[in-house]
Amino acid sequence: MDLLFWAAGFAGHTLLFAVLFIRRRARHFPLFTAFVGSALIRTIALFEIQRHGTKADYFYSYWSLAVVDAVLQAAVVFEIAYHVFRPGGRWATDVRRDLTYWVAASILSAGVLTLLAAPSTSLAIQRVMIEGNFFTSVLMSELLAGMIFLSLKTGLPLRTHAARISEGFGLYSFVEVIIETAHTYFGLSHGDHAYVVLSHIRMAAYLVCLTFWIFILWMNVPVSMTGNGELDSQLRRIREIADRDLSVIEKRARR
Amino acid sequence: MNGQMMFFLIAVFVFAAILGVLMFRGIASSRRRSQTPWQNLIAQLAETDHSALELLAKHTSNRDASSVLDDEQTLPPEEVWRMVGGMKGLELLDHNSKVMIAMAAYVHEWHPVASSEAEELRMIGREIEWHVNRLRAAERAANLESWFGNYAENTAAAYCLMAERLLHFCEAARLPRPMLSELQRAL
Repeated sequence: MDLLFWAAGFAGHTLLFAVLFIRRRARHFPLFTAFVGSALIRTIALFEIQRHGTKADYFYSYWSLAVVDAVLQAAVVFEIAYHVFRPGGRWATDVRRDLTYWVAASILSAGVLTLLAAPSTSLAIQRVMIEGNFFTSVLMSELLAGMIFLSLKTGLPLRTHAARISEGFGLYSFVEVIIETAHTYFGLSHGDHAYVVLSHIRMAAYLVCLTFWIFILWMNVPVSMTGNGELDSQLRRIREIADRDLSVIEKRARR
Repeated sequence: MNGQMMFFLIAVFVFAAILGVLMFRGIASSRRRSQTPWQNLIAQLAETDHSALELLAKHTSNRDASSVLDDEQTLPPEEVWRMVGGMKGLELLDHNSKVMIAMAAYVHEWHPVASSEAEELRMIGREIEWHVNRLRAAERAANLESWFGNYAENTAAAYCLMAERLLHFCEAARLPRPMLSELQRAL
């Protein structure tokens, strides 16, 4: 079962990585691309370590890379916020204060909920592991929900691909909160069967999210915005001209 | 199950319920907004007395430009109330400004180079929202009369500026003629 999830995860990340470059999304979402790339490297590294290293090697490598993964997730959240809340190239002035308060409140509430958690474990490191995962999942889900809410409140719409990345992340983080709550409840002091089953459910949810991202990042902007075929083709033509003009301006700016 | 675990589960349940509602409603609203066709946005614009608002906006700009404030330059509050259409009229302006922000976002989706103009429109919309919120607070505090004149005039001025800028923005973004005409008629 683990091998199946590994293989599916590896295939999914490879496909997503390819989509990001083929469809030229990587230049707009470099941190998300780094997150996907890192997940690929992590899968390969852990597979090799599990085959050739000791259990301790695997354990410490897994959790070191998990920290990198958590940092990259936070970076992706920042990248989405960068796309949404910086219209005209500067952070929207009416959002800065709300964003700061939201981030601070999210960290505080995630911390408080984590302090309440008291998973029953045999080793202290297991407790750190479960509480660390719980804290990260709560924080990510709060940050993403807050971003969606603020974008509606301030009239700064979540644009197509940024919207879909944040939706996928948000929904997956929400599922992760439930899974990590269950991890906390069952703990590890009476064996790891429940932990393993819940981890498989989490991996399955992540694979669904990965598939969603592959599909949605491959697609272009929604086809019809006017419900009128002639107007849609005029708008598409305008967009092609604008995209072409923008890439010419960007090339000249780079020179 | 001990007391702390029970308390933890209840706290997580409440947290997940609030977050879940916020997230799902947010995603649904965001998708609905991004997929609203142009005609639906036009249909959302409420009818306003644009000539009265323009007159009020002109008066506000003359008043602001003049260094001396005299009785002739100050419109009586009842007159401002009538021209704006009272609190209901202001609510309509606030509603329309949000629709105009959605329109600017729509046009920006198709003409991404115009982000600073779209942002300017959004900031004017936020200014209108701010003025109307102050008046809502004044109404709740039964103090509307002393606040209405000034805030209502500024709201009308901002609204007219926003409508003018939106039309200019759509023209500059080469919005197809039929869509632009529809917008001009609606505003």
